[in-house]
Amino acid sequence: MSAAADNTEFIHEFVAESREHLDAGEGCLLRLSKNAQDEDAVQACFRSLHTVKGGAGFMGLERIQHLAHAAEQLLDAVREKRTEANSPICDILLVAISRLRELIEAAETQTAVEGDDQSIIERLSALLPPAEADDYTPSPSSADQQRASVATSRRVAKTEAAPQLPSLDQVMGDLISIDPADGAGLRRCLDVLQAICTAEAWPSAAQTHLDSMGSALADLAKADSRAQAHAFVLAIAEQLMQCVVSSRVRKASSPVIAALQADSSSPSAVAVPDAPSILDFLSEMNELLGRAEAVLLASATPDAGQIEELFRSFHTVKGMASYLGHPRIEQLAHALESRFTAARDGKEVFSPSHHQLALAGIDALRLLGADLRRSGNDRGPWPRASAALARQLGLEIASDGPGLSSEIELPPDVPRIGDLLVQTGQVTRQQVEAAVASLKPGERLGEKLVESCKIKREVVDQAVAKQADLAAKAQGEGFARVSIARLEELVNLVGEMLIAQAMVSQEPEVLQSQRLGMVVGRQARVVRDLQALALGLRLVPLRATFQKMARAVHDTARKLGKQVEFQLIGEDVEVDRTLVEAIADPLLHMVRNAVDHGIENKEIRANAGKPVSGTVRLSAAHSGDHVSVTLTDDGKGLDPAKLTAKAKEKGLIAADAVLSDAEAFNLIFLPGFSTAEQVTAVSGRGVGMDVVKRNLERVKGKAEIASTLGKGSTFTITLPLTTAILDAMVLRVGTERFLVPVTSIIEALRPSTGQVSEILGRGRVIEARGQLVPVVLLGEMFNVDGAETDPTRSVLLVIEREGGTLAVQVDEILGMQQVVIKPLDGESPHHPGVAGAAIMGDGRVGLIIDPVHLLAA
Amino acid sequence: MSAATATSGTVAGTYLTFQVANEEYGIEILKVREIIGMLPITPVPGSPAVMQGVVNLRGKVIPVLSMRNRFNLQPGEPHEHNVIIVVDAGDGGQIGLAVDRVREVANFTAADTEPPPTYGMSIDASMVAALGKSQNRIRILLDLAKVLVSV
Repeated sequence: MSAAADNTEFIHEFVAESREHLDAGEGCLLRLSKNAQDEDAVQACFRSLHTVKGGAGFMGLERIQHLAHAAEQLLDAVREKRTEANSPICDILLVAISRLRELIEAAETQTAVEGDDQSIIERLSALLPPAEADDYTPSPSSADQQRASVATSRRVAKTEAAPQLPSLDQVMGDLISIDPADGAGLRRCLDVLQAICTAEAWPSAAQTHLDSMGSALADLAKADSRAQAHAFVLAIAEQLMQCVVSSRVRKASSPVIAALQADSSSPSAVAVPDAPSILDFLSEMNELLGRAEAVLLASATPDAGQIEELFRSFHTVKGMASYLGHPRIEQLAHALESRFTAARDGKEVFSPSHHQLALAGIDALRLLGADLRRSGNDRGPWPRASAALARQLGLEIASDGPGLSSEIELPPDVPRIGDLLVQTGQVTRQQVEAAVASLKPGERLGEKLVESCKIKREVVDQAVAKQADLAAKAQGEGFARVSIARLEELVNLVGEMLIAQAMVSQEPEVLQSQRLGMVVGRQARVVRDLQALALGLRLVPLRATFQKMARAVHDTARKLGKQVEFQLIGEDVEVDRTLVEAIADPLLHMVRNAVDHGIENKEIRANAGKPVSGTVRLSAAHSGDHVSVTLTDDGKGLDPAKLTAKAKEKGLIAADAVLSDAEAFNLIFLPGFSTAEQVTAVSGRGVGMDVVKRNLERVKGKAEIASTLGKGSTFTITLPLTTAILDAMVLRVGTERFLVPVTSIIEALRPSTGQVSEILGRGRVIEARGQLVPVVLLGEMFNVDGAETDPTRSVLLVIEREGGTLAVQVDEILGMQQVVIKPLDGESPHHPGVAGAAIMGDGRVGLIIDPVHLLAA
Repeated sequence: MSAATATSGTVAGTYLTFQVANEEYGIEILKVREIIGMLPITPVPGSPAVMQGVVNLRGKVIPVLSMRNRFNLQPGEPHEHNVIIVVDAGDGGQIGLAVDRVREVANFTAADTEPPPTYGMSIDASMVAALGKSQNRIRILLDLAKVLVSV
């Protein structure tokens, strides 16, 4: 396994997966902090942390593994109702998750992380119920006494009740996380294992493993061979785990014992898999098997690396199956893995029979997978083909299942043929049921119905065809992981195609010929659909971002001692992935502000006759080609009079200015403006809303405020659906064309004589909308040949930007165009007013102007 | 920098040669991505004078360097032989070199090359990796990294 440790590809996969798991875990904890009885949340969070732990263990990331383990243990205690999910527990678990996230980020970038995790781990263990801690009382350290203590614990275990013992998973986790130098700690684990072994009547093989572990521990005392001995202990521990788990599985498959086990609340960590996790598992398993198959097909005599990969595929399948509780797949994968151990270690030559066996194994696992997909669980009789192989590998299998059912592979939600026939109205449900009851093996229901109920053969055939159709559809649902670079490439190429298509449709021959025009028109529609589809691929749901906000609300409210209910609406709304990143920070600011400045203290709320608990609602919705994200709170609202006074005091506006409510609200977007009477740890330093506004402007978004004093405030962020495409105004200046984002243009006007006045021969201004606006000649600024200088023969675009309005003089407006934004090569210096480039309809490059920075040079 | 041009003794290799004004120059063929016919070039305001502008290379916007300008020569008359040589700029990006015309692909052995003279060159000597002499002609073999420096 250590071979995988330095494999960066695995690291990336691990990091991506762990992030998802931590996000999910965090969501669950927040649910749990609201409702301590939410068992699903505990279960899901436990599973997330467990997976992270397992992954970290596999990657050899010990710090992550230890911390995840400590958090998992605490959750396990909650799960088994040994302790209550109170707020200290939720808080420390949230802290642990944040810390894990940092560690995982660091693992990806391969940087060191400051600070220690030990204090978090200690705080986690401090919250464990006392019964648990008793199991870990240190035993005497001398070797003789240790042996004695093993003996005692064996005896003690017989008399004590089993449920007090920690679960096997926990002990294993401890065993892995204990420092190799801590001989006493390891010894304690062994003692506990021994106790569980006796209490649960493990198979004799397990006892053998335990004994050899005991002797390995004796070697640990010698400092020179410590690392080796430790590795050996862990290896035995893993074998022991497998041995015990497979014995549990065997027990579970026997119904009587299974029933008994259900009573004795077995400590196994096997979670009940739900449908999505099955689909995830299957897609992952199929990917692994596909990879293994590719290795086999590439070469009849794979080299060591390839055998390793094959081995690892089976091993991973086994691990996942074991964790998710798919016993047959686990058993078979385990058998396959063991079969190839010798070949992997170079003790056996990889023979053609190995090759055949591996391929057969892959097929058999796939068959079990198909069975799992259909039936929703991995129990019951084995499909015939898989059973044969399993026997060949030495597994004990009671009896073959009905071969027929596994030959017709139907996904679970495809209607049965009987149901489809009843739907047609040609037969009644009773008739079908009677026919099913009298069905002999090998007979088909359709045939039977044709005989007994005299329905037409065509009706049956039609139903069969329909079923096959539905099955194909259901089978097709799935996901494929595609790299972002390839996705971008696709979007780019589709954009190119759109432009090339536009060029074709402008050809004079196309315009003249009706026939050609029709064909090209049809092509245009297909290309547009294709573009919509390609752009859709860049969209991701806001869920993850919103989840982060939930965390921020929770933390902020706790810090300030406020009670806040957070509501999320429309997490499924999708936006461009670059936008998701861009709005995360602004949104965080606003959410914190809402809790800090918006929601009042409990006392004030109570006095105002409001519910003590404040409400903050974050919602998202599509509107046309925009997405609006709305943040509403029922706090004290904004006071226009106070805002205006504050702005005057700070000299941000003229002392005699009269502002409308809306204008007053917008004051908070000014740099250096803060209304909080007191600067708190959370917010109030006057950096915030202006940054929010600037960040939003960068992605062509807008923020608006509505507020009623005493009732609360509503902030609305409006974002374009995607940043990749820009609605631009095409302008001509001299011989060049430029593009300006439509959203930044307030109005375009053609000045009449005298409307533009020259000030002291240095600059020009125009009176527009009641104020004097400076005029900028784009042609002069960019040194374009042949640009028009006479304002009355030009067009002025009034543009709003930070610090006032600006009129940009251009020769003419050529029209509007949707363009794909391309970055200019970052290496070469250029005018800051040039934001990027786009390919125009004629294939030439047009420059996009950023009006905000036009005067910055 | 590749090993081939790191020291003047090991400049032997295959070069793409092209003409700018009256001289013939060469750049390592391995650095060349493709040769495209002259495209309409869009000037970028505020960029250095050697940057002629940007072009649309199948949907990618790449900068184009005028070699005449880089060698401090007067702009030439547009000609149908004018091409843009697209080269790898090193950091994954691509840059186009606008040249008068492409000549040939030529092999230079170590014996065919000579270190650049320290004086009497019409262009900045630091850009020159070596002089290639074969077929009774002198070709100026360029060090591409130095040509692209400060662009």
